[in-house]
Amino acid sequence: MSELLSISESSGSRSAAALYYVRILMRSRTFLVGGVVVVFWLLAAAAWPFIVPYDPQAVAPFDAFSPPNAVHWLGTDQLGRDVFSRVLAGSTSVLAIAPAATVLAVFAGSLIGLVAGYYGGIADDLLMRFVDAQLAFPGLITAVMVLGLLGPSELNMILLIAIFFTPLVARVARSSVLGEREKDYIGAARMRGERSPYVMFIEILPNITGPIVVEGTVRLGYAVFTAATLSFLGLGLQPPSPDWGRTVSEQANYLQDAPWALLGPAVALATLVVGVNLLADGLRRAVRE
Amino acid sequence: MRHFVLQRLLQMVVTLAIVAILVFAFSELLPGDIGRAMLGRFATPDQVLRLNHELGADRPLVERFVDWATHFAAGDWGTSQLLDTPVQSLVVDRLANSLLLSVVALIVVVPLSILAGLMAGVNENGLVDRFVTVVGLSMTVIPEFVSGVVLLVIFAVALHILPVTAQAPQGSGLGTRIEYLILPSLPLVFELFGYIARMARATTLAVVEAPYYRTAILKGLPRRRILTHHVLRNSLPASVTVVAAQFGYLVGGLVVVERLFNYPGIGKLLLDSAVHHDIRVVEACALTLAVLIMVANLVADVSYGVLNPRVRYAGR
Amino acid sequence: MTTVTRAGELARDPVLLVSRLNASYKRRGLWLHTLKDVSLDIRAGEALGLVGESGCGKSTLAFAIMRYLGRNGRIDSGQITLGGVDLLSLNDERLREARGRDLAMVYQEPGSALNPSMRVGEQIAEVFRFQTGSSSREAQNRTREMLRTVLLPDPDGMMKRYPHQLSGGQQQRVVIAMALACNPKLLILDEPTTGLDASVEAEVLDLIGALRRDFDSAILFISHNLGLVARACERVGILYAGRLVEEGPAGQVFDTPAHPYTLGLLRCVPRLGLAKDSSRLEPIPGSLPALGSDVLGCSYAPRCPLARERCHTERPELLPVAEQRAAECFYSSEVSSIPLSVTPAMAPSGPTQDDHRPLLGLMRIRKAYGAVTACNDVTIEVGRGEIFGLVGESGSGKTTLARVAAGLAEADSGEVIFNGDPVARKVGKRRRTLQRALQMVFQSPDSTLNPAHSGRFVLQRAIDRLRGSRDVGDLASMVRMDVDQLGVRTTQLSGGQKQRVAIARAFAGSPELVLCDEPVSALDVSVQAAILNLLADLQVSQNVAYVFISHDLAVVRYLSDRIGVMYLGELFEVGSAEQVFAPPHHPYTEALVSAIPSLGPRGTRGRIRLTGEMPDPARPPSGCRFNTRCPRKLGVICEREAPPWQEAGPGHVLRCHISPTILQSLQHPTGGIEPSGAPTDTALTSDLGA
Repeated sequence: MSELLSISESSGSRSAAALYYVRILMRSRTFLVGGVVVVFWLLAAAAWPFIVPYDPQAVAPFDAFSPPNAVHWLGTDQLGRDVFSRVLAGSTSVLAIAPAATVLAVFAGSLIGLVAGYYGGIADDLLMRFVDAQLAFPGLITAVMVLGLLGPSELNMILLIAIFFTPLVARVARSSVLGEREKDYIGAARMRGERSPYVMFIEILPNITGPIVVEGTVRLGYAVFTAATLSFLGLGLQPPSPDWGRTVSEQANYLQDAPWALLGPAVALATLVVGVNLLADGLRRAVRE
Repeated sequence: MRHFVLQRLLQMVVTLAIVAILVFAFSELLPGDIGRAMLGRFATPDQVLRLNHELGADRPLVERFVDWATHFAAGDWGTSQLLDTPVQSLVVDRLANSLLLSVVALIVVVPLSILAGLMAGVNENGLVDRFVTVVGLSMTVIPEFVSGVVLLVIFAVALHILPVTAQAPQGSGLGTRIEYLILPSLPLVFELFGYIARMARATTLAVVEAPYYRTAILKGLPRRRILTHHVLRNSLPASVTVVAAQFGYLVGGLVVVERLFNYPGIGKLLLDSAVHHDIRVVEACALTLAVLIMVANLVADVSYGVLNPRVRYAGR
Repeated sequence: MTTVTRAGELARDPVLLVSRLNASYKRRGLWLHTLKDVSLDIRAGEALGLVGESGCGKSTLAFAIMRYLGRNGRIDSGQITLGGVDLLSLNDERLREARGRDLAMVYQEPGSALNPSMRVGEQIAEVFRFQTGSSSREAQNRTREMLRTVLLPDPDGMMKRYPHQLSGGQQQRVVIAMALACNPKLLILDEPTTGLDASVEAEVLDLIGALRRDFDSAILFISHNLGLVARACERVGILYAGRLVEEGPAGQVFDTPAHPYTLGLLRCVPRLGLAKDSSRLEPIPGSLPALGSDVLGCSYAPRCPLARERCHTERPELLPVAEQRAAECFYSSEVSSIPLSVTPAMAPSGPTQDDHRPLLGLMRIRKAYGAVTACNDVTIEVGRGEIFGLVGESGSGKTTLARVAAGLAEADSGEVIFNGDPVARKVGKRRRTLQRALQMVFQSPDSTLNPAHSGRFVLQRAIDRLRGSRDVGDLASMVRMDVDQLGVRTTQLSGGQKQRVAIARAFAGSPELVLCDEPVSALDVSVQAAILNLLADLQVSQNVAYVFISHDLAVVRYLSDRIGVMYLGELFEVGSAEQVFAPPHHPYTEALVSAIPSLGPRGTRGRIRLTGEMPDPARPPSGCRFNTRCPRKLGVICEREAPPWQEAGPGHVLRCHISPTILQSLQHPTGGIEPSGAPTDTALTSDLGA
């Protein structure tokens, strides 16, 4: 109730509020570190043909199993391929699949959560049953089953991941909606005779974007995680793709001979997922303010 | 309270039914023509037809489902097409291995993570808290195969402390078997630690920020008493629930770890049978895992109800 | 710095001595100076009330004394001494010992102040075990005794219960028991009755008063409610923007204030007995200074009618103005002569002569949520241009009734009639003309406006949907707001400003009736006055009717033409404001009126107390729903039969088995009969005791 001063009090317009958010984000170390890492990998994924020192597919049997040195920064694998180049090139697949799946899940999940939370009743019950079933049967197991039986493919992976993440996003959206639904400004809107679509999208939606964005970023991290894991299990891209998961699976056989070929993609993947999650954490803090 | 448990049990049965239907549907429909999928490209149409008839794949779906479901419930899980062994003994055997691995992981991670979370919550922004939030976060998010691989390289290859494989030689005692399981259990530990510790921290923080925590301090109670009776009592139920709810993620991790270490557990069995279209095995694994996870969730729910007086003594 | 001395009491030194205390809070990275040079003292057995609006620092002071400011707070300078011991220099272990034993606190929301996973008995016993070293059995016995002392029935059974199994009043008694367990030197009560029902509030205050005879703790009573403090405390201190601006005996301070702010507060609070036709509330112009700001000169000067050159450049110290009184003002002697502002009393409202048809009719409304019947067969009629006040405690059903009228909740049976025609139950199905004509203002300023929208968007949308004839600028000036303030997102507005926008929104379509559900309950006292005045003025200028809901009887009495009293989902009395507030009236109304803490002399009004607890709404008592607590219960008939409506005057009806004539003689201010069983009064009360 007391008069709180805020940075954007003077203008108070949409853009000023957005600027305020950006200022908070910039102050967060976690956000910045995560941001740097993610941007690095995005650039790598986009520009690798221009920056790789060697052709990732180029085979050089005489150079096989060389440890990291000045010529091959991360050494070579069993076929003499440059590990560093393969690591850079391998970023594309994960960064193509994971964001696509996440965006799909966020859109679908927000819509479903919005509708289920607003209307309640049967739609809501159905959604919650779905979420429960999802908990009973984690996405990975189902993905293993489905991709194993259907056969691996990028599109299937994107769809599967999207399908499994949608209920989770929906749950976040739904609980945010439930929190807003009982507020008086919704009652006031109804008393003006506003129709349901207006109430859902113009009144409620702007107030639940925060938690959805945070959940979306967290989901992005898990999408990377899941896509890489599925590739590792052999259910994703096939050789000779330098996809990280696939490569680790392959190189595990040469653990004793060329551990660097194993570590390269593994550590790269680790930095990417951690980076994405740091971003998510930073966002979560900013939203809370 | 009884009403609560009954309600949960009923929900579980319904979910189980849905899962069974879905598992069956996936397994029977996805590979397309089953007979063809099993025999491969070069089999003749006649052979495929005969196999399909043998498998009963030419009957209506519902009939097949009922048939399968009744047999399954009775204990007849069919035979593995690939390994030519009864599915039930295969699954049970592999399950036992996975359970051993899981227990090794859980025994380490559960007390450690709950304790860490509690300490983090009680001393916000302290050392433990920083560790749990930043490191814990990262640990959860790194795929098991990545941490597994890094650990392998460090401990097995570079330092030679631990064995590279997960399976101890035939006839080894329990102690040796566990030694071999240390490395494979670590990725699971990392994965679960992050999540459980952060949840325990969150519930502890919620308690510390609650007015009744302030009341306890302003009553002049000794710190130990506040921690045990005021903090723990209120944050433990939620933490316990979280642990039990981790079963799903644990199973996912098992698939990866068993694949990486070539350990004959149920996760690897599921993966292999799915890839090789060994339908009966897939169905059996999937359903078994589903039941286990659901039971774990049920235990989590019920234990929360028991530990939380507001649920136990609902209403005045 | 001279502390205020007390003649004739030289033998008794103060138990609590606070000297020039300065404290700050950190918010969003900035340290805000919250308490400025506060000094006060309290003697054993004495109660000092601390009054102020939000942000004045009263809670900060309480927690500073307990040394519980947390990471976000710090004490900058000053001294706090309790029984001669310097609290600020205690190490952790000594501090722990002092807490609970020498210093204790009673909190605002008792429900959340109790550990939900520990039995109530154990929570009290803990204090004995760890502060006095009692054995487990001793602690149990002493706990039982404490429970009896705080008048909780069935101590053995009570000890085994969990907090969620107790009512609000019972929970607060437990908290009080915990606090008084070791007979502390200082007891701090931080808004102990906020959030409790009026009838329960009165009981808790009585209890505190009674306990003061057995425990000689010094008491610091913090509240935003002047009446409560006047009733419960001997002395009072007024806090404004972190400074103690006045201090002295409660009666004198409220009678003849020595600081302009105190006078301002007194003038903006509706006092029982005053109605809008006879007097006008005077809001304090301007607004509270920003939290933690340090200004040159007197912090109240920007809003003070007495402010002169000197006030803006020099800060006044706490100067003695009379024996045992002090105020921070250069011109305290002039305070009593500040004239009321010359705005005329408002024109009385009420139905115009020609149109006696009711505008809104709620006929036999019945609404249940599961097992709970929120409204049971309630009938109300509101005339054109009339203000109908609806009072009741929590669970009375008044909000449900309003929501049914608004169309936000659907009645299970009964009809809503507007202008003679029955209307659709769901607001979405009502005709546009009706949606325009029947609007609502809600309680909580924080949830009444969409935080993502600007004020301008809110109003423009309302104008468009309701086909209003005014534009945004007109609406803004109608509610006395600056148009510039509408450009910002609503989260940037203060509570009072948000309510103004909400009111403007309701008036966008030129309504005929506005439902007001506790529109000022969540606002500071000085802001309340302004909004109430606004509502009253709008009612006359726009010729609208109101259904005005509030739990604050003084406010309802001030504004309303007619009043309805609800209890546990049923209507028990309806009449004009004067009729309902004076005998003969329903025993429940009688008790509610008697429970109001007032600032003036208590007069001949005795104290009627309700026995027992509010019944479980899912299992209401049989017969008359009020019978379990009625101080004038006749007997078995009250349990068997629902009471009939009886006429107590022209346009005045009530439901009771006792006839109005008998009630009249029982309740008459002189020569009336107090209901038996009322608890004995404390020294502070009036002469008419049980």
